[in-house]
Amino acid sequence: MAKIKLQDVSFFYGKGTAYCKEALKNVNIEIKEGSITSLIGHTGSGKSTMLQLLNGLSNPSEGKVLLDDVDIWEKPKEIGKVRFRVGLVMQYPEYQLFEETVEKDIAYGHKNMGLNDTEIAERISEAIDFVGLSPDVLQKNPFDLSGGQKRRVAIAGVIAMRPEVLVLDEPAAGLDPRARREILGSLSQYVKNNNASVILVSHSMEDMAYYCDNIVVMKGGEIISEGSVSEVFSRHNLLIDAGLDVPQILRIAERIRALGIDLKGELYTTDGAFKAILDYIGGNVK
Amino acid sequence: MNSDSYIKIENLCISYEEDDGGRTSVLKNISLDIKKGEYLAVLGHNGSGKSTLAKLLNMILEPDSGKIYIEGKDITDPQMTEDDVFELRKKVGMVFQNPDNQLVATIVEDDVAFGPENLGIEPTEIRRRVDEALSVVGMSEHAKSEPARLSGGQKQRIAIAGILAMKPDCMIFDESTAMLDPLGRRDIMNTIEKLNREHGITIIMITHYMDEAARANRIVVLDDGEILMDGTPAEIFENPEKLQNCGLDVPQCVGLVHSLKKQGIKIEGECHTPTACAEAIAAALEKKNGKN
Repeated sequence: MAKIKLQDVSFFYGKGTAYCKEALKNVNIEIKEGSITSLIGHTGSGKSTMLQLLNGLSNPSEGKVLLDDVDIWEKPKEIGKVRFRVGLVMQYPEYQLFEETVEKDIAYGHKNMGLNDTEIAERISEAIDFVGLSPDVLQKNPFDLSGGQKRRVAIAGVIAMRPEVLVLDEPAAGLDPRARREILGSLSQYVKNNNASVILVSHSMEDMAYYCDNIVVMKGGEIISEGSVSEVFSRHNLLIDAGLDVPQILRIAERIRALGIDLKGELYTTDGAFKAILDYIGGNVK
Repeated sequence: MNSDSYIKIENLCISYEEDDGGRTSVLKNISLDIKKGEYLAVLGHNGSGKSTLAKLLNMILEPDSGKIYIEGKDITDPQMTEDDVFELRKKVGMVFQNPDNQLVATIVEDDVAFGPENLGIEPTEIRRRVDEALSVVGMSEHAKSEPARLSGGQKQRIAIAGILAMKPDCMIFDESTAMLDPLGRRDIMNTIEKLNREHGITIIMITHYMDEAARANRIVVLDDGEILMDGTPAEIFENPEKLQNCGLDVPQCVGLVHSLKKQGIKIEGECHTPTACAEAIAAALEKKNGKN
C-alpha cells in the first residue's frame, strides 16, 4: 500500500480568472513507506506545487491526496493534523528560524501539537542528535550558528514532530560537500529507523544517485519519467532532452562507451562505474 | 609589487566580536596575488571565510589588519574617501547567491541601467552599455520583460549584465549558481567563462561545486580562515584525502580515476573534466586490452 498518493491531481493558479495557469496536470504518483523519492524538474515544472499539495498547504483543484488511503481533505477542519504527519521543510529553512534559542525554536511546533514539556524535551534531544548537532547548541542563539548548522536546526524542528512523511525542498542547497553528505545521510537514517517516506526536491543528480530510491521527473506540470534511480538514469536521453542533467559519472561512462568500450552495470555512481571498468578488464588488474 | 598582479592581498586578518565580548578570527593572515585576466575558483567549507574574503575585496567589510592593493592602489588606506570606494566598486563587481535579492527595477533594462545611472553616465552612453551588456549575457530579447517572470538563471544573467554595464575589470561570484536548476547553472557557468575569455574580465568564483571549480585556471582552498592549498585544478585534485578532511571533495571524474589508479591501472593525463577523463580512461583500457 502506498503511504501517500496523488490521484488524478490537477492544480490551477488563479482559476476562473484570465490568468489561470495549470501548474499540475492530472498527476498520479504513489510514494511507498521506507523510501526516499526525489522530484526533479526545471523552475516552473510543478515541483513546489506538488510539495505543497502533499503537506496540505494547498488544496488540489481536481483529484485527491490520499494519506494511508484516506483523503486528506475529507475533513478540511482537521487538515492541521495532516501537517503534523506530513512535515514540510521549505527551501532555505534557516531563514525561518526566529526564536532566541535553538531549543525554543525546535520546541515551537510541539507546543502547537499540545505535547507536555517532558515529551518535548525528549523529542528535541532526539532530533538534535539525529541531525548531528551537539546538545550544547540548544542554548545558543540560532543566528550565531553557521549556515550548515542553522539548516540542521530547521530540519530538526520538523523531524522532532516525528512525521510519517517528510517533504523537503532542496535540503542540501548551498551547503559544502560534507554538510550535504551529513544532511542527506541523516535523512536516510530517519527513513530506516522510522520506516518513513521522504520526498525531496533536488537539483543535484549526483546526490540523487546516492541517496534516493526513486525519481520522479516533472516537466510543464506533468510527470515525464518515474521509477527507480537506475530506471530513470537508464533513460538518460529523456533527462537531457528535458534540459536536465545526469550525474557527471554517467556522462563519463557514456563517453567511454561511445569510444567503443562496452561498460555494463549501474554507471550512475562512482562505485558502479568503477566496478564496470574492473569487470571490463576482467578483474585481474594488479 | 609585482607589476602584473591585479589584486594583491598582504597579511589580511579580520575577526568579529562574539556575544561574550571575545573575538573570533575569520581570516588569519591571508596573502594572495591575483593576476589580471585570471579565472580563479575559491573553495572552502561553510564558514571557512570565502564570502568574507569576497566582501573585503569590494570594501563591503574592512580588515582588522593587512593590506589589499587593487592595481597597485591600497584600498585599505584609512585615507580612502567615499568617492574612492565608489570608484572601486565600479571596478570590482559582485554577484551574489540569491537572484531575487539583486534586482531592483520592474523592467529588465531599467535594472541593468541602475548601476551606470548612479555613476552619472550620459543617457546615450547608458543606452549603449545596457544593450551591449544584455547582448553579452544573451538576454537582449528580454530587455522589456519583468524580472519576476524570468527563471533563476535568467535573473542571475540580468544581475551580471547590471554589473557589466559599469565596465568592471573584475567580477566576484559568491555562490551564484547555488540556487539554480541544472540549466540555470550551465547558463551562468558559460556566461562567466565567456566574460573571462572574450572580455578579459578577471573572475573570482566562490563555489561549493567541485565540477565548477575544476573548470577554472586556478583554485585556492580556504580552511578555517587560512589558505590550505593554491594551484591548478590538476594539482588541487591530486590529493582527495586532504580535500575531504576539510569538508570538501573531488569531482566524480577525479574520484573514479584515483580508485582505478589504486588498482594499478595506468591512466595518463589530466582528468579533472569529464571529457578528458573519459578519453584518458578509454585510452588506458584499450592499451590494457591490447596487451592481453
